[in-house]
Formats: sequence, C-alpha cells, structure tokens
Amino acid sequence: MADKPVLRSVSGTEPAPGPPSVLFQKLSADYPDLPRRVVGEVLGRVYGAAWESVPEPRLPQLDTAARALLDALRVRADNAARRTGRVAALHSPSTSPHDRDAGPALGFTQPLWPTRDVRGSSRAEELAEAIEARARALGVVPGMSLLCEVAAEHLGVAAVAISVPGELLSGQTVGVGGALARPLEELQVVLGEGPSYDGLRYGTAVLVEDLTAPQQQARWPLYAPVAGQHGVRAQFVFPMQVGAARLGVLVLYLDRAGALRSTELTAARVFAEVALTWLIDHSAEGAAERALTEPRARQPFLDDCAEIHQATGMVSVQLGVPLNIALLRIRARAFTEDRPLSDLAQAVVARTVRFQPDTETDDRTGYEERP
Amino acid sequence: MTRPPPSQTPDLFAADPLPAREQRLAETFVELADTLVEGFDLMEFLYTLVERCTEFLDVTAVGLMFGDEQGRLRVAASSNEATRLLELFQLQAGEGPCLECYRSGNPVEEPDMAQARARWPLFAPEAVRAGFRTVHALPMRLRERTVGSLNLFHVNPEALPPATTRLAQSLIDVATIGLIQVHGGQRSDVLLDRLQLALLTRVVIEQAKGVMAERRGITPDEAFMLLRSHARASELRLTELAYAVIEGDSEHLLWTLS
Repeated sequence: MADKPVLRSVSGTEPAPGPPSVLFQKLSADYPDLPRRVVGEVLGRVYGAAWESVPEPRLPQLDTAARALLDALRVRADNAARRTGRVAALHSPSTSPHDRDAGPALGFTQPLWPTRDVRGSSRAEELAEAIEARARALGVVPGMSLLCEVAAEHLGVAAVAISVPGELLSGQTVGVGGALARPLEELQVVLGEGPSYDGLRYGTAVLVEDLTAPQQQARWPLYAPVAGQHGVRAQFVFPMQVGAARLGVLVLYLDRAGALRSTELTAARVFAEVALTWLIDHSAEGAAERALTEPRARQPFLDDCAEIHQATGMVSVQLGVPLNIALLRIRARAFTEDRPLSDLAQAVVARTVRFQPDTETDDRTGYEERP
Repeated sequence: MTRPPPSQTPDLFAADPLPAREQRLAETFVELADTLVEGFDLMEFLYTLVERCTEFLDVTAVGLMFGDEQGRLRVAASSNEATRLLELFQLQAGEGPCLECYRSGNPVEEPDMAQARARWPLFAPEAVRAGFRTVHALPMRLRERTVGSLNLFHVNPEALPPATTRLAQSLIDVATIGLIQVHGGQRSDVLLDRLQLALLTRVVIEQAKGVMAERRGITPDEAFMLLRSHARASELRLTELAYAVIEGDSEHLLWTLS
C-alpha cells in the first residue's frame, strides 16, 4: 500500500540504535518476564518513533499508558499459556498464520459492488464473495485482516481494525489493515477510553471527525493526544451487532479530518456487516478453512430470522451469559452438528433442545437434546 | 355486497356504515397522526399501525417491511408473530409483492395466489400453503421516495374492494405524516435513520421475547403480549422495556420472573 498516505510507523520494528534510555531500562527492570523487544515496542507505541531519546516520562499519563499496556501484554501472555482451546471466539484473538498485520496490495480496479442495489443478492454478499475470491487467489484464509486490508484500500483510509469484546480486557483486536491499527486499538483498551472503547462498550457508532478538536481532546484526554501524535485526525467506529448482542466494532483511522461521505458511511457499514457475519460463521473451529474450499451456501441475512433472536434470548438465560456469547454458542453448536443455524434455533424455541452451563470438567458441548 | 356507484366524495366508510366503526376509525386516524405525545415509541407505533390495519381492512394478516441501507426489505412489524407468517415476509426479501411494490413505488395486488406460481415461484406456493389466497402490497412513501411496503394477506381468493385499499393507503400515509411530525419535520434522512433503528429494535424485541419466554416458561408469542401489556400499564417505552429485560434490570426483574 505504498500509495497510501504515509503515517509515522509506531510498530517499533526499526532496531533501536544507540544505548537504551533510562526509561527503557526502568521498564525492562519492572517487567523482567516480558522480552525486551516487547518493552521497546510498547515505548515506541506510546512515545512515538523517538522513544529512544526519551530520558524520563514526560507525562504521567504516558507512563501510565505504557505500564498499562505492558500489564495487558503480561495478562495476555499468561492467558495464551493457559488457554486450552475452548470454543470462545469472543475471547481469543485470531491466531491464523494468514491473519497477517500487513499484506500485499490487493489491487482492486473495479468497484466492489454496483451502485444500484435492488437485486437478488445484497452488497454485503457481493463484497464477501469478492474478498473470498481474492483470498482463494492469494491462497490464504479470508480472515478479518484481509477484510481490513480490503476496507482500508477501498475506503482510502490509513488503517482499519476489527475488535471484539474480551473477557479480561475490555476489547481484543482480531483483524487489522495498516500498521497503526493494532497499537492504537490496544492503547484504547489499556487506557479504557477512546472512540473504539466507547463503541464496544455502548454498541453505538462513534463518528469523530476531528480528534484534535478541543472537545474531543477533553472527551478522551489520554487517548486523543497520543492518536494525534501518530497522525490520526479522524476515527470512525461502526458497531457489529445483532439486536442487543454486541459482537464487535469496525474502526477506521484517517490521517485527515472531516466527515465521511454518505457512500463511504454505507460502505463502512457493509464492511462491518460482512465482518459480523464472518465472526459468527467462523466462531466454530474449521469454519474459516471450509470457507476457503467451499462456496458459501447462500443463506438469508441473520436479522431476518426471528427464531434465531428468540433462541439467543432463551439460551442466554439457560447459560447465564450475555446475548453475544449465547449467539456464538448456538452458532458453534449448529456448526458442530452440521445443522442450519435456523434449524437449531427452532429446536431451542420449541424446547426440544436446551443448553447446559459449562461444568468444571470442561464440558464443551453445554448441550443436550431431549426426545 | 352491493356498493354505491363511484362518487366524488370519499367512500372510505362505505363498506361498513356502523357509526361505531366510523367513530373508531376517526380515533385511529387521530392516534396515527398525533405522535407528539409524551413517551412516543416508534415500535409501539408501528405495531399499532399493523393492528389497526387488520382491524379495519378485514384482512387476515398485515405486515410492514422497510428497505434497509442496502436496499434489502426487512420485516419491521407484523400483526401476528406466528413463525409461518414471518417466514412469508422474510421470503419477500428475494421476491414477492412487497419487493415489487418497494421497487416500483406502486401498489401490487394478486387476487389468487394459486395462479401466481409463475410470477413468484418461491413466494406463491408458500403463501398458499400458509392458507393465504389474496395478497396486496401498498407503498409507504416519504416524499418522493418509497421507504417500505405494507403487506395485506387474505384467505379469500378475491381482490380487496377499492375502498378498502384506499383506506389502507390512507392509514399508511397518515402514519408516515405522523412519523415525519414526531421528528419535527426534520430532513427525510433523519426519518430514514429512525426507520433503520426500527429494524434493529425489532431484533432486540425478539431477543427480549426469548429471555422472557425462558424465564417464565411461556412461548415467545405469549412473552410478546406480556411485554406490550406491561409497557402500556407501566407507561414504559416498549423499546426501553425490551432492553431492560435483556439486561436483567433489577427494577423489572421481579416482573419478568413473576
């Protein structure tokens, strides 16, 4: 994406020349369990490319941010070590080797969908098919990062991220396009503020046309200045949700201030819808691989099936979990049973199927069928 | 029934001369137009619209569909939440009278679905199987633009009299004016956003029905009736109550369990 507006990299991949700073030594000593490379990266993310020359914390907020980021990474490392492969797509970031942080330019020359839309298939379906065809051509799994890359390219924005609600942290990033996306998403999580954080928490669109405006700086006093340092001028967050089930956000980072045009807004929402569908479809193991090899069975848009929503509400009570987890559990079960989602949902509503809460013995099925 | 010859005066009430019905209809028009009331709730309004249509138009079932941002038709409200009926509405995202009406902006009628297999290969047989023979679709227009379609189903194989379809169109038009008014005559894209929100809210209500049904051991349909009656009795917006039920709001928890 060489023709994209160039933003200062914050990924910390450049080797740090010269002697390590006092700040770096201090943090390395406080976090001996984390690799020094990680500490350097965190400093790069918080203080920008010139972090090596930062002798002491300039602002207490930035020191807090750096330490919070390191704490979060420590928690994540612990979790990764403990994780036992439970079916919990919401809680684990994608670990697919194809889910790269940066990929080849995709080179779309045609618009992804026709502007006239009243046809048999929706723009979301067409977009999903276009991305999947591209993934097959590249020989990769059509993961969230591929979707983010396509979105960044199509919308001409600096970076795109997809984050989902997490278990211990308030959010986890499952897909990125553009070097800025992951560090800024993680920064908002650890700071506990920012447009993405608000979008995840409240399930609303957060459209920030100028992050440097005084009222936005006041709204996110920790995050907004850091984002500004990295060249972000505008940030647009689109919820990925099914009714009250909040499953994630799609976030656009722009290096220019200003509102999105209505066509861009619509396009962003279409990308968010595709991401939502994938998140639900891919919540079961092996689904992503299946998408690569098999053409997608055309199924009605999720919102059109009342029983799925009713079943989601019922299962959330049966399991004592929020709606988003309930929906993913139904989906995972349907996939394991090789049964249409709507079919399983009907069985739940008809009370021939109940879900049981997990027990300590790691009962992953959480499910029983009555005659 | 013999009807009077066409005249210049509106014969909206000709089909049924009972004063009680006229009175009730007049009240309905006021109800649909008078949206500047405290605690106005869009979902309750849409459910009221389809219920009044069922009441006055002598049809078996009524559904209201809106186009979403991508131009897909989706169910916003229906007079009867039976699964079979909802599936019939859902089918029309791909083909059927609602889609034709939404695309063209003109009313669509099919007096005998048994003869309509060539026109709608998926929808027509399903409608007949569900017991419906006649179907009408009327446009919901916002200024120049068609934003949705009202679907009328009847079990008799006979088109509705013109007076009835005119009355149906009047009910939709008055309701649309009411909706424009509730948003202070703002730009039409504000109202379009509200209609999009209605599609999301409908899903939230389905989820709340599921939560209620499981907590109380009842069917989703029964849960819906309880939700609506409780919203009315406690002067809560249906939308707010649905969210409260889902979130296990302590204030309403006792009620959902009792």
